[in-house]
Amino acid sequence: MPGSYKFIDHTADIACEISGDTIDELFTAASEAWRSSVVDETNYCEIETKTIELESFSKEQLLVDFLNELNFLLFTRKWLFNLIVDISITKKNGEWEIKAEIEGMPLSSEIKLKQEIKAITFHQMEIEKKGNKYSTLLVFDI
Amino acid sequence: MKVSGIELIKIRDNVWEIPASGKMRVPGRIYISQKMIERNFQNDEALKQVVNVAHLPGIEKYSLAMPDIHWGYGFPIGGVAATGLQEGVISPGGVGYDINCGVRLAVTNLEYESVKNKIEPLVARLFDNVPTGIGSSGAIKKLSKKDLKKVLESGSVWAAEHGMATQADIELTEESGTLKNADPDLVSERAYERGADQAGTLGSGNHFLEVDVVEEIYDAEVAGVFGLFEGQIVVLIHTGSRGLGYQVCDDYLKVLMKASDKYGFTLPDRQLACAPIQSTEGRDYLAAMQAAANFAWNNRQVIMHLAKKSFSETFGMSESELGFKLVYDVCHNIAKIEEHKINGGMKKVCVHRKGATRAFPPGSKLIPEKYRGVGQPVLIPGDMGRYSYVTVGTEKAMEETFGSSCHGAGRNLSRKKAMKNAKGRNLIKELNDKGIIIQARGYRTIAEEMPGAYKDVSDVVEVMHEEGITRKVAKVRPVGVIKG
Repeated sequence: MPGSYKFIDHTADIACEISGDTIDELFTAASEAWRSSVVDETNYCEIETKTIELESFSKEQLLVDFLNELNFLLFTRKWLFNLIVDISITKKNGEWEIKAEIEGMPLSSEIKLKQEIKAITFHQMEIEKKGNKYSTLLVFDI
Repeated sequence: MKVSGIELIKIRDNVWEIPASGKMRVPGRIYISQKMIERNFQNDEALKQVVNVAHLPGIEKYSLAMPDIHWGYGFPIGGVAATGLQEGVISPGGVGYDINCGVRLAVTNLEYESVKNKIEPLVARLFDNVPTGIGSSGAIKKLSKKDLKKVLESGSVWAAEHGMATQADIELTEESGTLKNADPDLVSERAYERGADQAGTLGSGNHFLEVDVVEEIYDAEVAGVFGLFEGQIVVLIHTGSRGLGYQVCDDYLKVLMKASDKYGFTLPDRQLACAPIQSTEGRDYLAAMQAAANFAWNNRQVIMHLAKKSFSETFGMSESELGFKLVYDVCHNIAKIEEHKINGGMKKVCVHRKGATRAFPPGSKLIPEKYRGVGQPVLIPGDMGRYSYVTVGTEKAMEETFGSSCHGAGRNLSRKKAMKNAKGRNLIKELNDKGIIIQARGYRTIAEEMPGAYKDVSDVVEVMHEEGITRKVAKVRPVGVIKG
């Protein structure tokens, strides 16, 4: 089972519940939730790949950093993330690391953005393993 | 009574207390009417957030919330907390991502009755001149790092040096448009990159530029000092520090997250990450946050300059013929070092205002000389279909709320529900029928920001008025709106 996400009602911002069998799946589902918050399905053209490598002191911080990276690529560098080709999250010497190969494309006038996400917040975020599943709540500030 | 599992004790008609329990260091105090409590706190985490804020080390008196309280992240929106400068903490969760999001009001000597046929071309001109929308950019040429650094150091003064602000504009901005301890060197390269082409841009979401008409005056004397009269055309601008501010918050949350661990703080929400104000981490955040605040003041100043230009072009009148003048500019997302009366003595504290407006009284040396006889203008925007308020700060605000008041209406519907509500309706026509001309980049913004998506701001303003925290001066209603 791949990871999944479900938006829940939030008056001022966007909140979604994310889950996955593994941490990798949780991050993948979170990136999909982020993408569906900023853009509707698009035609893929001019596909490019990028590698994102980040490290953080906690898995929660790593998830925020990863999604903020996608946010920065979109709203500042005008490059829209489409999907994760490969992802690996590991913990080394107390630090969490992500290495992800992602696909995306330069923003064009045909792509209509739904809204600007200011940032990914830490509000009520706790990556927990319950049973066989990892889950967390994510709140995007818009 | 119990609301969302939290005990609320009635202190006065519009003042409710959450008693300190568990690890709360102080009680919570919420300025709100009973009617609003019953209506507003369904499935809402806002009250819990008031409780959470009460856990901050060094918090003084109360974890406060204004009547526009709603679910935010870390602090509730409408939250106010003062922490002791020596022993307290500073938290980016008490400021938010949009550092120095705020409002400014400018007046003209135009009367609605004589210009109402020109509102449509005026709105079109404003929409052309002021970049709006997601990631909007290019209001003025992209700033070099050197120029941007100057903006971060000097705020609105940068606009004055570049012919986009007058001396009066500077004087009539909170803090004269510059927080002097800002340190641009503590702002990351990434924040610089995000801000380089965003000076003078409105952005998206709830940010707006409105042309309003003064509909009602409640206090003629104060309105006179503010330069307001019935039937007058005024301009209201709501935006903040754009991507630069979001990045500063993001960068320092990471720093303060580590600091919370280092100083051994146990907090009920990660978004309340904080550090002692006197620590390197706390001081660095404060100085970087002040730099972002300066960016926001310059941003609103440049937008006002572009608005003024749009008026001149539409009406073929010079600036002085238009009488286009700034009344005041206030921020509602900020942490400020101020002196307040605590336990009978004066004490320096860091006042976090997250969706709350400073509301200083007559006589305060921290407000422009022009307003010292009456008090500081406090600007409370409503929604784009109804009205906004101009109110004034009082001594009672100093005694009870660390000189703070509300900041707006607060959302009533989530964006998703608003979209659902808008289905099958022509909101542009509905607004036109009410005499409001609107232009936005996308229909989605209009739907999400539709009047029904917001609470009635008059309920919010009334609570503050009845409690004597801010007094009503005038009500303005929109006739032209531009949005992202």
